[in-house]
Amino acid sequence: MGDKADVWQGTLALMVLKTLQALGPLHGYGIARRIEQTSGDLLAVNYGTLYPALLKLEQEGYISSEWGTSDNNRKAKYYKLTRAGRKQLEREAREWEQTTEILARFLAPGKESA
Amino acid sequence: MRRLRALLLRLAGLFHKGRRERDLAAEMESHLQMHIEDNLRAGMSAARARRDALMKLGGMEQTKETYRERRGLPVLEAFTQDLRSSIRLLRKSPSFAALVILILALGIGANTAIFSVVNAVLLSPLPYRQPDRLVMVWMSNASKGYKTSPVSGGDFAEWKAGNSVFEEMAPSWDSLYTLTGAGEPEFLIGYQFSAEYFRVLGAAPQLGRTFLPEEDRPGKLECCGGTKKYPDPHHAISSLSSRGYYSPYVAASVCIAARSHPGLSCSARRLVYLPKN
Repeated sequence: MGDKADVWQGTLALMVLKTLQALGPLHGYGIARRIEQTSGDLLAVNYGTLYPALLKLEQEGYISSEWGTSDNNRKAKYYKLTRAGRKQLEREAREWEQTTEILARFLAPGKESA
Repeated sequence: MRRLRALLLRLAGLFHKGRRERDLAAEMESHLQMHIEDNLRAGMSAARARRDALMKLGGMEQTKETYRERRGLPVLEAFTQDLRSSIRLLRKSPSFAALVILILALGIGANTAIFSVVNAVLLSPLPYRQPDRLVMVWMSNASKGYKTSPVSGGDFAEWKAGNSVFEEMAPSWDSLYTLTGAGEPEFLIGYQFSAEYFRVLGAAPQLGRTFLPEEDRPGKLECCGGTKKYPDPHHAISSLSSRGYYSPYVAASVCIAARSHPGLSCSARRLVYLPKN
């Protein structure tokens, strides 16, 4: 339990955008659960930290929100990706791929030409 | 652009707080209920389901607090709160408030006044072409304790003849005059210069011209006046010359307003520049 990684600073927003792209409009609880599941329970998501992140994304215009009804007939605030959000997702995903690729090259054993 | 948008929305977040708070409370509540339902379905007891949901949320109030920090501008909010409470305190004791405001006003006023003097006298250079290359040279008489006394015309002529230090030298003497015959007699402070004086300073008259070398001779005493009393130099000249105490020609020839020459301005109501003779 204690050795789960916290969500790295700055990656939560990307995870939220990706989740909304994959699942369509979703409420905060659903997003939190989905992130946790997708990580294979390797990430410890403090669900509370999600809401300020959602608010920030909404202020920046990447997502929008409106009240709706959940499957269990419960009132919930649903978030969905905007057009700007889709672009931002592409951009950030590309950057992350690049970063991880570079790191992978560094960490790959015995491949240095020197 | 995105940042600006976010900033504006956060500014807007300072208003309609009641509605936003209700919105947030409802969202938290629905989150909690959904989580509890899931936990119950997973077989937890009611109490445990609720505790677990609250723990995962990181505490209801903490979550709300971090949310509020992002919603508004905490610095600005704290500032407006401070402002409001200080205004309330001041209102409560108006006489104390008046005293404080008076003291502050006096303090600020005094500081401003002193600074403007220091600025004009010490900090900003004199409005000459190359103020750092200008010096004043005086006679001194140590035995009598005079550190700066004026030079006589003869001595100055010798200084000038033997000068190998300065680019140019020009003498100046001040003297006091009384202007009579034009109604109320007036006290004038006059400066006598040689013709090259204005060139040495790098100062030009606002109107007319400065002395010519040939006017810099005995028997050519003529003058003009530039005054603070007459903000318009043209007016000064016409009113002075029409009285016949200044020749119209010279009155127009030199007229340097005191403000373009603060190094020479003085408490006298008028400044007169006279050719040396």
